[in-house]
Amino acid sequence: MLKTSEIQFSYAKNTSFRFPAAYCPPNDPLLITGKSGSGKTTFLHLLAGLLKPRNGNIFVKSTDITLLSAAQTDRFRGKHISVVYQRSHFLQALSVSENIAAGAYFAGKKTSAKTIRLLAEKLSIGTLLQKKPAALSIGEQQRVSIARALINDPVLLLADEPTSSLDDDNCEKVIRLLKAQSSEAKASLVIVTHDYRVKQYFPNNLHLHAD
Amino acid sequence: MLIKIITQNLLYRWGATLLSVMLLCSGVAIINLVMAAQKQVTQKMDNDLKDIDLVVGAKGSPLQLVLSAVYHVDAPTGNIKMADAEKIIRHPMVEQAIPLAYGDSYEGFRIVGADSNYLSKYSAVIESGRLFAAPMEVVLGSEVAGRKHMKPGNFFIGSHGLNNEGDEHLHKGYNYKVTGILRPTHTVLDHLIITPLASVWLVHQSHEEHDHHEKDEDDDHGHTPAEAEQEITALLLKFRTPAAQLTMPRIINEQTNMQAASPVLEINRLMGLMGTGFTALQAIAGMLMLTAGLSVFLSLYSRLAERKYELALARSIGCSRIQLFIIVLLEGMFICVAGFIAGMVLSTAGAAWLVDNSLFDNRLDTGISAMLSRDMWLLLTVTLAIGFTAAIIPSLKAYHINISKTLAGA
Repeated sequence: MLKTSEIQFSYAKNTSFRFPAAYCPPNDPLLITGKSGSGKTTFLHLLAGLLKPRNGNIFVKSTDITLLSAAQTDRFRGKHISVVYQRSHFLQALSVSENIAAGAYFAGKKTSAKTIRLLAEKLSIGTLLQKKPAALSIGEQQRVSIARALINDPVLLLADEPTSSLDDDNCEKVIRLLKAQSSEAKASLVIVTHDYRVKQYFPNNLHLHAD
Repeated sequence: MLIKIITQNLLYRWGATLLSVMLLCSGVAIINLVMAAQKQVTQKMDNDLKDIDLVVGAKGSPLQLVLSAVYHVDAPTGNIKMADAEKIIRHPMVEQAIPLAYGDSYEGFRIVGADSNYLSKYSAVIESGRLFAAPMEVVLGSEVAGRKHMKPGNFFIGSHGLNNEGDEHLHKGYNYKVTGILRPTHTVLDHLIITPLASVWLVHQSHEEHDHHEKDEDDDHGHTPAEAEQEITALLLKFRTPAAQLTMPRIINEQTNMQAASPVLEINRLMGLMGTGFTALQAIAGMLMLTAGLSVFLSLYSRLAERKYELALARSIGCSRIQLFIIVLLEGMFICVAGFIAGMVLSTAGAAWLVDNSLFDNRLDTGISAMLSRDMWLLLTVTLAIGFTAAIIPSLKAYHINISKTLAGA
């Protein structure tokens, strides 16, 4: 569950963002849309605890992550929040399955080869586990990112423009996948995008305006 | 998992890793070899010098006289008459005088005519067999016996000159008989074949009045014998009083046609020269190590730019700052440890090769590898310090990476 009050954030003195309150229960994914420059990615980073707001509260489960220290935030994020980024990043030297395992390792959670294989098969990347991430297509990399995000059973799953580099077919597939997997994991799903193709799948949405 | 990330990363960029490891390896190997060689040479020189206050021999280079008479590495300066030597031996200031006759060899090992005082000077003990009792009997230094696989009861023929020159220089008809083997003394004795003075006189009596410059290999053997006058090559002196150090060399050099040389003075001069060589080699090795450090730094640092996304990603999936710092730091340290181990292995193998190939004229003991471990810890510390210095800045950059900015800038 995610619940925020109205939050303010500024990178420097003269630019500041004001974000409306948001609420996202586990079974009702939230879509956040807005033009570029409206602060979508900033908002997502605030929700992930990668940035600290100037004021306002962000509750993930029952924890207000704005009150945590930097190290506590890192630990909390590792355990409970997963992010799928617009462009997939990997530990390049590790194989796909090691990358997925790293998601659990850094979160301090145990995982097994079997768990990873089952998850990978659900995302139809079961045959790619021994490859290096750089050898995969963009769509495959995206699914590996999703697998890594899901390996920890997160409370909150954040996705930043997950469909922007995909064609219509893959776009729909990824959205269905994210919805299905997050509801199966009982995680709140928040998607940030400017991709209007996505809108039809989400009744619960929030539009950000540039100031 | 951390170890796996580190090793996989090193393998992923194996070219840069290999370059750094090889640079470090060469640096460590050279430094280690030079230190070991220097130490062994210095120590052996000191061992061999055992209270020899003065060396007396034929006129020539004093350093050559010392090197040939004490260390048996150079050619003799020539011969002196036993009768002249006797005057010095009986001088009241002389406590002990050991006459030596040398210039022949057996397959690269020198045959030295001496008396038993020469053996007791180096506290030599017979390991097997017995001491020589008659002319043409010899005892072998431990290295000679070991490398030539000889035992008491064996016979061999010496050759004239110090190099293994072939048949025409063999003293045919004069068989030496091995009567004993010496226990290792870690002195020059280990590399020598010792026989009574009389043996050398016997072998050379056919071409008596032999050319005084024995180092000249092509001298004519057809000299007609004059009167049987015994000759020796050098005399090792020990004085009763330190004052003799000052007076005796002057007396000998000015009043006789012989030469006196102080081993300590000559060797200090030599070590001064060699020290420069060792220092130069160590400086080169030091430069190699610094270059290696720079290479580690550059490969980590340049890799940081291309890795910033995955480092930020690692942070975002729960990796702490300190873990990230450790990953980058350990990558640098791993390279250094690998370079150090490779360097130690290489220098140990190199030392064994040097001993086998006799680059040092059979003078290095096979025990040289034991010398290698002495300064190992110091060298390891230096290597690790280089690795730490090279890795600390990239590690700190990884520690301070701005996750949000890096990931948003993708």
